[in-house]
Amino acid sequence: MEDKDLDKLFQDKFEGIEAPPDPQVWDRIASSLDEKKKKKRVVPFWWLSAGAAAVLLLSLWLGGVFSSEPQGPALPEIVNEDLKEDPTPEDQRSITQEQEIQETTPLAEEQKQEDLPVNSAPKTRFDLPTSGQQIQNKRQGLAQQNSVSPKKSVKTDKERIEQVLQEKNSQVTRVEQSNNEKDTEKNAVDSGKTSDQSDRTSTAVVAENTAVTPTEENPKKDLFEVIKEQEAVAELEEGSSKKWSLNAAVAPVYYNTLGEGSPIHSNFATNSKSGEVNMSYGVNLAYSVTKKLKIRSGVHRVDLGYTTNDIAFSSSLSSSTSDMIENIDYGDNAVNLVVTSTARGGGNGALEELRSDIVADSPARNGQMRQQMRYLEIPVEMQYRFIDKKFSLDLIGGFSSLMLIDNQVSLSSEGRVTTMGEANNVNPFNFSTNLGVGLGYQLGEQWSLSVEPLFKYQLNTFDGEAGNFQPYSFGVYSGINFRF
Amino acid sequence: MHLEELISQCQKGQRAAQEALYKEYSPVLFGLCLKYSPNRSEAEDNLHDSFMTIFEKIDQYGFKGSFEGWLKRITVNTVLQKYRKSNHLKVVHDNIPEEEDWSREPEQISLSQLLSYIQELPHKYRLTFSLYVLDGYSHKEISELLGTSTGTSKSNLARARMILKEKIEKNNINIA
Repeated sequence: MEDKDLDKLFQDKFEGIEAPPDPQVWDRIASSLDEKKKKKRVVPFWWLSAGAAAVLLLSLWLGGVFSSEPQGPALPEIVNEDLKEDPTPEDQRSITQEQEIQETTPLAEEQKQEDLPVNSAPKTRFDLPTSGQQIQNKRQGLAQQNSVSPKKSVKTDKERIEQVLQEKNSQVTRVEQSNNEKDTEKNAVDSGKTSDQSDRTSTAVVAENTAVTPTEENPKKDLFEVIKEQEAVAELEEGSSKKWSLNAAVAPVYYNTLGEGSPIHSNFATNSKSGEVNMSYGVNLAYSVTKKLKIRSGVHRVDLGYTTNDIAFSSSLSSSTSDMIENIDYGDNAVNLVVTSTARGGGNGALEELRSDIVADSPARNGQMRQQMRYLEIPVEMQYRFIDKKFSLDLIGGFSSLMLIDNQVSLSSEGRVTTMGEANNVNPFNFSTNLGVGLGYQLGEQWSLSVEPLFKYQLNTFDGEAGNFQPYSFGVYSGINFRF
Repeated sequence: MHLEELISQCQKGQRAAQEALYKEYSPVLFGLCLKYSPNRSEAEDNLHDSFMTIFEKIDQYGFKGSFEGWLKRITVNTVLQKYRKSNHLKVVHDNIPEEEDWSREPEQISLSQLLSYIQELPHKYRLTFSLYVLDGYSHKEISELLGTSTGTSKSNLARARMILKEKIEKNNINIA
């Protein structure tokens, strides 16, 4: 047989081959899709909180990097910009004051400004009270001085300027700096342009020298002062800011489920559930990583509980395991209890039948089933401060590890309560993702009050199927903080 | 339902649409799985896995090119992924399952018989033969898909053909 015959044989037979798969395959796909959906539902909460935490950390880190480094040198610039942008009357006054200084030396420059049409914009700043003639005179006088002993005159001028500057330093320096910078530029240009005129050249040089020197010295001084001031402020802050804080809080905590379902038995999945409010107590220790970010952890004791409504229960004479709910380890006195759902649509056929039996045989009591769990909660949370005044506002995010201390399922009817037993499908260890805001009120240097509404979404609370039972808790944690 | 509408509903994860899509395309894709899998039950597993991938990635289908072609590519890839890594050469079964009457003419041999011959081939021979002969892939494409050289692909094909020829001839002799 030739290869091509063989190929042709197969190709002909397999042309457009279609085969219906076993119907079970679709069922498997459908259940796999269900599983995936469920997984997806839980995961985003993790990712959301993890993502939020990551973004928070990153933004804080970046914020830290950008705010801490350039603060020193950036400050004088900001001052200058402010002055340039809006010259208030006060600024103008200080400019005129400064001009007294300028009159002594950079007059030549003023003269040039008048001569050269190039310099137009900054002229308004140098509205000198002296007339052009006076300037001219002074300039000439200066030039004469210069011709005799230019160095000396420069020096004396410089000294005088410095003296005056020091006197007026506090109000003038910053303005001056900006102006002087401009002057220097101008001088450089002007001196270049007017170099052909000997008379002016000397004055220009003088002007340049005198104008340049203060710009060099004064900003330095200014800068040092600013840095010193900042250091002083920082020291002050450091002295007052305490890195650690201790918080004791108490909270009413509401517990309920987001979806339908029942961790006790699927028969109670559609029954209405009522959340319960219980109390939580605990302490937190927080550490300030930066001024705005705190990391905190602690220990809380929290009771969580909810009630499944529309329950009927009765006691049967003989205890049979088939009537018992698998997820509950019955107490000694409760082995004869038969619990059913009276909710519409709840319960499967067998249990429905059972219920009718119960109704027929023994009086069933209508009531509620209550499940309570007590946990030791260890939160690890980050706290980012948005407002840090007398009133403070924080965003809080993190997660908690929950350790089961106690759990109980009880039945109640007409005010009487019967303990049924313990649920055996509550995980001894589970997590919650926490998100909330913190409002604070500063009482003094060390004490403050806080109110923190926190939403906690629980993960893997129950072992195995709990339907769509997605427990969460919401608590308003009010506490008192002590910084040390 | 219009195909595009069906696809967009599948993209939203609507179960009814997913089931409709499955009903429409599962026979073709199962046929494909049968050719590449060693037996029916593994073919069903592969169909399951392929549809899971299809529903997962249907968001990425950009309505470019044939949808059926897209589905087939996913299916073939899913199956190849499973078998290409196993270097284990399955022992070739010589015993031929009893079947209905065979004519002497090789053309009369049944599809199910030929399918079982293919399925009995070692993984790499089966994949190479199905890709090359039945689905028109080139040796270059096959070598890329299976992570081998074109030389290996050619020799795998030659061995696959040899085994298949033997089986067909044996079958003919048995009948005769």
